[in-house]
Amino acid sequence: MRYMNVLPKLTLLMLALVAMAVVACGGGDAVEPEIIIQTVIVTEKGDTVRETVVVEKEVKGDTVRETVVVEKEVKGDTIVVTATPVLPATATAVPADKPAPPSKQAAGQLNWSTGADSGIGSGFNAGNLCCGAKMMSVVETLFKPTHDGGPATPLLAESWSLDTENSPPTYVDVTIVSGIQFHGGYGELTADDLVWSINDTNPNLSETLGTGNISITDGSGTWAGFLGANPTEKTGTHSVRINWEAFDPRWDTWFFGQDGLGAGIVSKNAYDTEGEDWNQEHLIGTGPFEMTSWARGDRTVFTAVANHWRATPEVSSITRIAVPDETVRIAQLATGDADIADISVSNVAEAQRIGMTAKGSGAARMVTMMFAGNLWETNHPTTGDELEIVTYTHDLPWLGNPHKPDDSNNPDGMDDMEQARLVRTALAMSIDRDLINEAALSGLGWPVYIPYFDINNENWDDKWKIDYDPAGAEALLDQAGFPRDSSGKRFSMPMFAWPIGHFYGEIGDSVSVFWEEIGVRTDVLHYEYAVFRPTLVGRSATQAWTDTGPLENYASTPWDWPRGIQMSALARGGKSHGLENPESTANYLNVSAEASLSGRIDLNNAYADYIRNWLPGFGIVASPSLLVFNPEAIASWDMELGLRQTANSPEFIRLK
Amino acid sequence: MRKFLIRRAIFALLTLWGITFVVFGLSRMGPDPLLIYVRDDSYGISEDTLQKLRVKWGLDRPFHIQYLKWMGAIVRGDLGESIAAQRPVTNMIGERLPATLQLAGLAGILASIPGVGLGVLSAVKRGSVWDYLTRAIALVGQATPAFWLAILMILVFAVRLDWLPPATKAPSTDPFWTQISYFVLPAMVLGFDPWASYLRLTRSSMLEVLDSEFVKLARAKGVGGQKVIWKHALRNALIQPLTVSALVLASFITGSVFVEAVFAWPGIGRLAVQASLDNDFPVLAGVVLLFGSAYVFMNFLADVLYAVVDPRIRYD
Repeated sequence: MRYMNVLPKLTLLMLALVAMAVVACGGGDAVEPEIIIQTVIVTEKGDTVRETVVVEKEVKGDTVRETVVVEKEVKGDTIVVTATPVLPATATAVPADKPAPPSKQAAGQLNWSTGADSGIGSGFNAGNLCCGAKMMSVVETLFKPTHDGGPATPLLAESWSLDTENSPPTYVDVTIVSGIQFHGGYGELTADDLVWSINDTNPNLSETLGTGNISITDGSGTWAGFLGANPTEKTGTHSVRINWEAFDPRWDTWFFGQDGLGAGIVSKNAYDTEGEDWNQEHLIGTGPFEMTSWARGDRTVFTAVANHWRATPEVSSITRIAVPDETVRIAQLATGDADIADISVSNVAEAQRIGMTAKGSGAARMVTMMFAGNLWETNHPTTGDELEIVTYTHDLPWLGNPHKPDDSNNPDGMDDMEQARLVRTALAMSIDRDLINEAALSGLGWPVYIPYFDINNENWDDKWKIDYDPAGAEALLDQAGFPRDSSGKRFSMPMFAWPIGHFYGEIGDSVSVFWEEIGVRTDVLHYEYAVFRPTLVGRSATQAWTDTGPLENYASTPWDWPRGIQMSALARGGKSHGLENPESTANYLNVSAEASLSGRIDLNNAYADYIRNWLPGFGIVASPSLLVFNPEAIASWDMELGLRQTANSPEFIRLK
Repeated sequence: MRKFLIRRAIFALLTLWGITFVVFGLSRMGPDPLLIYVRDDSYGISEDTLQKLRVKWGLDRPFHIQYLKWMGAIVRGDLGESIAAQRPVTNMIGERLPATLQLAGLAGILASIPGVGLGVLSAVKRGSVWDYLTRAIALVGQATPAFWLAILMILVFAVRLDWLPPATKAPSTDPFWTQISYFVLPAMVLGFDPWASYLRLTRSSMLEVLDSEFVKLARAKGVGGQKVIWKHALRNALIQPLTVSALVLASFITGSVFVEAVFAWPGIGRLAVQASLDNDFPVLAGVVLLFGSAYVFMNFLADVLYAVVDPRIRYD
């Protein structure tokens, strides 16, 4: 009944139209800077190691970054997960102009304004590979999202043992916790549910063709590469054997983790008893929240599960409302209509000015410039088939052609690969990453120099850094045979900067300004990614583009995880960065198969050397994934460390 | 009249057929439609699986067979299945259409009644301050982009004044007036441009009618001023706004794309936007077909209305 007296106001509304622009302007008062305390809890079962890391940050205008190194070995086995950086989970506090408004929701209820409801999966499995249902703790996976603990951080899994007869291992035996109940009275979680969920997530085995076999949300194709056509088998009431095609050191936290590509376990009983149509509309999981209402594309209501087996939420319900326009999401925060909102990092300061608190799981996208069209492989890595190469019909300065090294315009003694390498290096040297961070991300990010490798990781080596050196860049372009003409122009190039979430487009625009400075005329293309994507899949794109891409380009990705698939012909038939080289293929396959931690790190270090030298793409800035919430509604929210998701674990929200 | 109706109906059907051809043809352009359908990294998906997908979506058949099968299904009311949601497109449109129609209905009321009223005022008070004021507002109304106006209205009436909610549609479980309050801002933005059109059309029609002989005669006979305006002049002046109403209603449906996106209104416009972002061609084709059909039907209706409301107009 909040807005009952509407009609009398309607008249005033009409009359006030003319005066709106005047009223729209205004100011406010400054408030005190805030102290933010983040607690990260790492729990291990089995060895019963409990570690608590408290990061206390007093923010007075500067971002404080803490690095916590956690290294654990699995009992007697060969699989070790590396340390990961704790990235800034909170943004630099900006003084608020006014206090946050009171929430307009009933006690215990929260409204979460988000860009789209995509990622909330149905009762099928591939739909839950991605974000929504796992982030909202509706479905659960074998392991917890905390990835720095590796196999020692179970969720549904109680115990497990890797294949010891083969190296690398070809399967894992897993026993799940008994007594866990599905939502809605659909019975106890058993091995049957696990088998059904894992096999249906694998596109090559899915019985529900069309729900489990395409990457509707994210990455079931990657699952197919991992599992092949090997089914998961039931070995007991609560135990299964998971067989895979190609061992991957990320099997626990990436493929079976609460973040990443872990398959959320759903109820086979619900599928068998209610049928396919019903399961398209419902999602029966085991998490602390139950999805009680779902209007696709509009709103989803998550209701707390009473007496949950591991964590009973303090919040009674959370309604996620899809609001495409970010300005409107901020308006909802300002009016108290929303308590939580997903916003881009460039608008975090704006939200803080209206009293909101910024928070993230630690995930950060590394925004990179990829030079699509550099297709340097000749044969498919697995089939051996000759690859179709269509990007060298024109001699473009940033494309190196190993298939025809001597083309029209190479300087004496320089082949096309070297010529293009100099061009790409010059382009990478010409940008001021710190300035772009300030301009496009309000200073909340940090520089990235080469794709896939974050400067905050303890394994980072400054030899991979690319200094801002416009004069040096111009010298390299001269050396490559691209002098300025009478108008000051060296050559023209297109750049695709997709407008998603604001910052890609703005970062692309910023980069183009620097390129113009060194004589490279840049046409920045801002259209929907959906339009650009087919050219990536078809490997016909030849322009530079701003991309983050897959897991590798998230700053929190452990240093020893496989890198390179998106620069490999392994991904032919699917989306990639639009470029291919045999070194990336080899690195992805070799790191995946390498059992030792130091071996994987060494391989990736050598790969970083390769990337730094050839620069098939270069880094620009890292953008931390943050959401904002109303401190008048939420007192605290302890999230697990995230791989890619901005947020997780709403069961740990404490209300004010 | 009958011959005219038949002729117009045939033209409408031909136009619809053209729309279906364009909509379907565009979705099948490119080297392999599967590359558009399969949205993410397909690393590891076997060729056998890809072939199953082609068969599932009928992509293994020649273009003309695919088109004929699609047309056959449409004639039976089957718009296919969404790739992203794995649900019948007809159901998805059916779920979203009421929200758009409700919004369009209220926007129509907000546009037509004040628009016609102010148009009459402007004509009757020709050359006065009222005339200049209403014409100026009409000009602003037609020149203002909906997305800008929407943001501005949210900023003023939701954020600054806190009179109305900034966005979304209230759940049906909320009290009636609370639900209505969520309609006000999007309906006003959607109706603002047509409101200005109504105003200008009514004004020009009224001026023409007020200057006609029968009005002069009525006045000469001593008929009261209000009666002349509202009974004699307005009834004749309404012919043009009335016939335009059909097209305005159609424009509400297509124009909802912008307004629904800004106000997070769960209607057909947002469905179209999301489908385009998802490469969900079956949904996009269904929505475009609906938009096209709405325009064709409303055009047809406008032609008929001309003949019905104005006895002077005869098409045969």
